[in-house]
Amino acid sequence: MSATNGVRRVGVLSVGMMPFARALAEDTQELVYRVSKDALDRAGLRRDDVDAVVMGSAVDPFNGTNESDKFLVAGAGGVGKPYYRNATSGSTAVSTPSLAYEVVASGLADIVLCVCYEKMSDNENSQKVFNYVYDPGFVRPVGLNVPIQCGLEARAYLHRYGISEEEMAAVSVKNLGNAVVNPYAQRGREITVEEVLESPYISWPVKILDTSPVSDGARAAVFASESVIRDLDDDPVWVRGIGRGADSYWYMGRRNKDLGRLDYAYLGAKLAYEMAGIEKPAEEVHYAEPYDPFTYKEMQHIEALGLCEEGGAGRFVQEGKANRDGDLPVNSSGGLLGEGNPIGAGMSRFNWCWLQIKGQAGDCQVERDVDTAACTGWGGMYQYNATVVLGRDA
Amino acid sequence: MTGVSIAGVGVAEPAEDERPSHAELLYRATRAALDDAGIEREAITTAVTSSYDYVEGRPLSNQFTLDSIGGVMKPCDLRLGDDGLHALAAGVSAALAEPGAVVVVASVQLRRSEHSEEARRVVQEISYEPVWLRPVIAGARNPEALSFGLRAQRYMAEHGVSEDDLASLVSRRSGLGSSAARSAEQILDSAVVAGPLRELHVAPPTDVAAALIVSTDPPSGKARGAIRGIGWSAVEGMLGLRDLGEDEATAAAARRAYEQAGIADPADQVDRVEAYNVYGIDELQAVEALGIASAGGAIDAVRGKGSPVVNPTGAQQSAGWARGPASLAGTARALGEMADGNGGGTLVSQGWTGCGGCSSAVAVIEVAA
Repeated sequence: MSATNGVRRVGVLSVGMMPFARALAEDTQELVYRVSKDALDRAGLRRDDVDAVVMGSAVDPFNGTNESDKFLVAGAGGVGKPYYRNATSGSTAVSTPSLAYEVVASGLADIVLCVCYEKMSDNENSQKVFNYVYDPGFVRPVGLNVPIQCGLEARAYLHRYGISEEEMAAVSVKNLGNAVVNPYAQRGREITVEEVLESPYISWPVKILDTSPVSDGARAAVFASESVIRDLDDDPVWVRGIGRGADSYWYMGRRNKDLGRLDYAYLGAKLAYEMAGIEKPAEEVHYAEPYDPFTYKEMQHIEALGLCEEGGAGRFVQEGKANRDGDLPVNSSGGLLGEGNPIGAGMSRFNWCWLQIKGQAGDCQVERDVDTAACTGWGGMYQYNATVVLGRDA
Repeated sequence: MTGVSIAGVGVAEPAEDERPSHAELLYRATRAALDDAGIEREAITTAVTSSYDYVEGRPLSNQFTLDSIGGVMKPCDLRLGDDGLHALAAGVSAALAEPGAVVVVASVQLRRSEHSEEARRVVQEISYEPVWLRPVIAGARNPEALSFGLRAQRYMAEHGVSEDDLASLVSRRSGLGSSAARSAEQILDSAVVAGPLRELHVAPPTDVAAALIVSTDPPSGKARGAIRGIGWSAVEGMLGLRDLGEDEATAAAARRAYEQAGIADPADQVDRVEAYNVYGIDELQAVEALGIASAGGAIDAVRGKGSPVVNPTGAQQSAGWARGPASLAGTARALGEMADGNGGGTLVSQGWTGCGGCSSAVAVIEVAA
């Protein structure tokens, strides 16, 4: 390793995948090992080639062990190497890759293995955990948790832009349908808008089929400096842009008073696009994997990414533009809704962008050429965003 | 050289008769760091914080920091579940990845987060791997001390260090603080918590917030110091799979930091060491891992008053132990003490985290006079 003042170009050599499922028999270290080995095998590397490891998982209480990652690092081959772990709840999925990017871009390492994981089915009461994220004085006693807050957000979003529940349902139909051909998906299924609309509400207007499932799994990716990647890959995928945005913890103090518009997500996308030199994302981004734990959340992120006009994501999806054979395909993997949602391992959004650019997405490969792809992560207590833009040389 | 400077530092501790919130205390530390750097919060570009969910009693325990550090509507979300110096390593990466960015590295910890001895005990207990280790230590009075007790047993047996030696070291360090002083006799008379470690070997908990502002281009043009090297490393968390007689994580972190800093002979080239000494044994093993003393030679090295001086103000044994910010606070204080009329010099700062200190970070800082 060598330190330098110059900002280095950073590429992604490979990704590590495994099927998501509920209640996997393997323990978390085995999940970490599986995806780490898969990523290294795809890159033609051995673990000794890795300079540093960065891991991510949402929050410790999901795992029931304080600093749980310290017992998993061996699974990523990180023993004796620079290692730390990021934890920003759902946005961990994309903020952790941005951290891995920084370690390489800084010159402090040439090859970094990034691993995100979560075993949600070990958790007996994840909503209680989520309730404890809120401040203990004002919001926690109200009983807020993820479904309740998502209901509030979705209501605000639908009201602000005049969006229907049918538009939300169309996202679920698309994503669960897309997941049918994804070999790593937990919930591939052909469904109809009517089925979604008839599924039970969990927090109006969000229904069960608007919601991603409980999942276990992990994802990995190998980040490398330009000098390394040029030797190993004749068609490199580069990290072209990273951006993050975060609003206040305090509800009453948020800049984003209207829960229907994710100002912090617009900020994350703006910063990533500025770094990537992208001025017209609807034209220059060819594929997207926005974070979609709920249907309306994919819609909000499509808009924050500038892939359609504000409030227009529902029509964008209903008109088929986001389909696998559409003008600007979105979540052809099935997203969190169809592939599954092991929170930190939502890093799969990042991995699928890479697979699409490399033309290695199998039956999920979209029809159009993909040179540039964008993904988002969303977390904190609904106020963190991370955006990454990947792309090949022009 | 990394090319990253420390533009400002801030440390905040509550007055004896007040009980500030985490947010308030971190605000004070950040405000002090901004003042030290000669900038306002609008200049902050990004941030990395360190916090521990179980210690705080809440998941995603860094969220309030955005407001305290001036990070609202900025990319200030990154949070490591590691020691403050690990966050500094991430902050250095962020600064190098975006030259000119103004990066806040911060952490805060209040002893009342742990609420009670029992809560602290449970948090420490669930810091062990659940299948093999946790059942073994279940019910222990001070579970974390067990892993350091094992380290102490192995090290002391291997190098002939006596319980008197360790108690004398802890006593000397604690005597450098106003309220935490314990004599060697008091330490040796206190109850055994994890033989050979006794109750009074353990640094007392404290409340502190610390913030460091780092950048490749300090906005005001002045810098507290230059980060010549930063290293961090993890070893196996499972106690049975590593050599407890030495601090391999710190040794690996130090190798990387020294390589960047161009330090070949740390005993000769370093002026001051700030090493974690929550249990006393961690200081001895760290001093050797940092290359200040040879294997088994730390007890003599830390007695001396020559250079490099180790923990001259007592570190956690005198200032108290706050998981997360302690290493940042120690670094910030050392920067001030070395600069204020003392000519600056080369500071090595070290901190650990994880089961039995399985992960460590080391910073080499050239302190401005």
